Amino acid sequence: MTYAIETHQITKVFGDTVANDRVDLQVIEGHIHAVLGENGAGKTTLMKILFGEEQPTSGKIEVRGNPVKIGSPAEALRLSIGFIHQNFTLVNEFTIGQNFSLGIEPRKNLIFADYGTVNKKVQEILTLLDMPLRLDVPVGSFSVEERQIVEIGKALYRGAQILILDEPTSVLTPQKIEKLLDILRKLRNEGKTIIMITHKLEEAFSIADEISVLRKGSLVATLPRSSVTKDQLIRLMVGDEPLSVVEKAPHQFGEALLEVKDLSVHSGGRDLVKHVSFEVHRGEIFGLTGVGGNGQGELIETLVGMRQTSEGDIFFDGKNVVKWDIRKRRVNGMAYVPENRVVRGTAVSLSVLDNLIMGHHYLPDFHQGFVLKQKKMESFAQEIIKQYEVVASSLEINAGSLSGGNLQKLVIGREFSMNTPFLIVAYPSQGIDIRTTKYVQSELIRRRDSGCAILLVSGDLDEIFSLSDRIGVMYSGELVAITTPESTNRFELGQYMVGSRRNGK
Amino acid sequence: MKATNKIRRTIFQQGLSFISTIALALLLGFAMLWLNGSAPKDVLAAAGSSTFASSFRFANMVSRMITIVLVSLAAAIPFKAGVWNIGGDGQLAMGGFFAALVGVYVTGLPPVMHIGLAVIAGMIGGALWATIPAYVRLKFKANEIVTTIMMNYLAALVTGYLVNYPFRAPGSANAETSLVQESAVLTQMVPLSNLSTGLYIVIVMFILICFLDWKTSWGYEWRVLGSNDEFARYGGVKDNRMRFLSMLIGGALAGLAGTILVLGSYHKFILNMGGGIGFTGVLIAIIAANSPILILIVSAIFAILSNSTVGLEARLGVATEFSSILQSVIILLVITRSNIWAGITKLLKRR
Repeated sequence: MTYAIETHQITKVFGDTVANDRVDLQVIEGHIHAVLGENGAGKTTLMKILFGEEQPTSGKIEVRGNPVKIGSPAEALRLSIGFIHQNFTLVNEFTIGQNFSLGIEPRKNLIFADYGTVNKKVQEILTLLDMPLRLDVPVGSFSVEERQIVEIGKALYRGAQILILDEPTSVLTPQKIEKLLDILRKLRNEGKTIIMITHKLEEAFSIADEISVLRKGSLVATLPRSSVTKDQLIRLMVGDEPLSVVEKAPHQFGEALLEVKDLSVHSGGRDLVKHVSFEVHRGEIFGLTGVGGNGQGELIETLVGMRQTSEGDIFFDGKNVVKWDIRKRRVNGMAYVPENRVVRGTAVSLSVLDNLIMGHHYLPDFHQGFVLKQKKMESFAQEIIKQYEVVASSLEINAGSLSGGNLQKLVIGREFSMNTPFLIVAYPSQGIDIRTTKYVQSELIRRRDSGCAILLVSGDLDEIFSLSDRIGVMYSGELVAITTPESTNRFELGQYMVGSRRNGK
Repeated sequence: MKATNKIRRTIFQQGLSFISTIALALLLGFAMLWLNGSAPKDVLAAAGSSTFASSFRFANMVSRMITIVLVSLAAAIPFKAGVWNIGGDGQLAMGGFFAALVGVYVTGLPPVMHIGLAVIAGMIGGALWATIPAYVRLKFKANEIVTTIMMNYLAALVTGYLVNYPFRAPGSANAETSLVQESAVLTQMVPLSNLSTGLYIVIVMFILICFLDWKTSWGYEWRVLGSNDEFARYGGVKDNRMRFLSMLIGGALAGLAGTILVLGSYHKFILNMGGGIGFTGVLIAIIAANSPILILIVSAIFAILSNSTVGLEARLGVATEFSSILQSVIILLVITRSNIWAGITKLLKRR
């Protein structure tokens, strides 16, 4: 038994965070190896290291027994390692042959690209993949699943013997997933080695020969598929340390402020949110969790009005807000700390002041007609900075020059100081230090105790457990469970999260 | 306290690098002419006298400058909001035409009202011409770079038809309208020059635009929209409405440029009177990073440069194209200035 890839003590540190911690991964040649883990467990970083897109801080890699240094994707390809990214890397306007041979076109008569030769090879690969696609049309005209397979074909064309797939099924419908898995099996039978990153237990189970589980950057186990149970894997993924508890006053149920009734969201032929119903009461933190990409993001976007409701109703303070635009919902009392503070939560090229007044600037306090009250905005911004301990040397510096934690405090300060009765807080402690995390959590509890209704979305089970009064779990667009921290445990939540269990709500 | 000093220093450095880059470009221009056999002393004298030797020449420079300022702002305001307005030429033409119609065919009004009406008509004309690309961008996601350029050609053709046939001045050999009524003429400020009291309108408009940019929620929302539209939408900015508005204002400013050419300089609408100045406006908006104050400075430099060509040609026999070459050199150097200065700093450090 030889190893296609073997890593020794791979460690990768970004700033203060350890993405991979002394990982020893062994991938058997000619097998399908699934790498499981929650979001942020370090899966993608590890794979990028194998493909030369990232350099490890320390550790060694061996490919087929030979120690190697993979400095770039080109070097990885020379070692016959191919990477199929989550986002497609095809030129939509080009045909399959043009995409496959881009930059390595065979020549005829010195200067002309020889697409005849290319297409012959392409045809062989498509036959192998059992995918009869037209060679004379641009790949942009293919469906998502067809393009996914074309991506795999591209790696094969470039001589990949070891294929790394990053969450290949995340964009596919269930039927198409089966087809993709079939193709991967076929490739294995042809002698290829496949490493598949996934957070879907079912897939890992149905296809892998070996399964490795990463948790918080460490490889916690590699087990043969035949001798492992789903429950074992769930325990490995979520861990079994006792859950931490934050001291907080008992839960005072107020009236329901937000009522979501049978909400569905469709987009691009996919059901992103399916018939979700729940309510959040005043004085309650409702924790919504699930593995990333199971509809939580789309659900929040629909609640705040950034995404259209397909079916169902959203009642806020007794009024149906489905038809309201974003501003109207904000003015009427919805504040939102978004999941991605750089893409959505701030404009990093603008000043701290400009970032702090967003959403406040159209409230009556800050303008007269359409003239903004500069002095008032400045003193207000100073106040947020002081109260939320944002370390910024002045209001005029670019928000982009703040550290991640300070930027997060800026966003939280801005949204919390709206003094709305309802808050949506998504992944508040992502990528920030422990001190800031503790601060954010105590703020959330303070707001809850003052009668605010809070929808907390997080993938961090510790955070969900310690803060929530009730917990909802989403899987595949559905709200599969609503429970309380007292009546559940880490393992049971893990089961809900991977879809192997559900309750009747 | 330290922080504000640091900011002041950054602004100072930015300004210094901007101005020194333009100085560098001018030096290059001198060098080119020197190689061509003209002594720098003579060049300076010839160029300087074209603008500063008489109040008449200076007035012509200012007249050119206000047109450039307006078309630059017409590009800069939409740029701020993340929309590309390359249609300044078409908007200028339509604005000028609308103003000419009011100026020629409305009679019996006192001057203040007649001019006011013509100015409003001109701004509406420019704005209307901008709404078409703005609308198709927002409704059908048609690329506004393409559509605004297309609208320039369309404006030239439409006004070309109108002043060749229905509105042609009786007996005129050129494609132009009749002269506007006496009551619609903006008074000449310096005898024989192109400069009119339209200058005051532009000063008021410039202050208004600065105010809009710095002090109002419109300016704020444009700024946010231009730097991160996802953040703007998240924060409740009505993104499409604000983009549309920025195009309307841009179109109105270009229309005003046309109006002042008609009411102040030519006293009639002449086909292609803008002469492609809209593109100059786009370039200036880019090198001035959409800042009104920098637009003012760069517009002055460009106006002086294009004024200088006359003197250079008459006295030293330098081709008129030289001014365009120098303008291009300035644009290239300003756009790449951060790289140039980084390179120079590195060189100095190595020594």
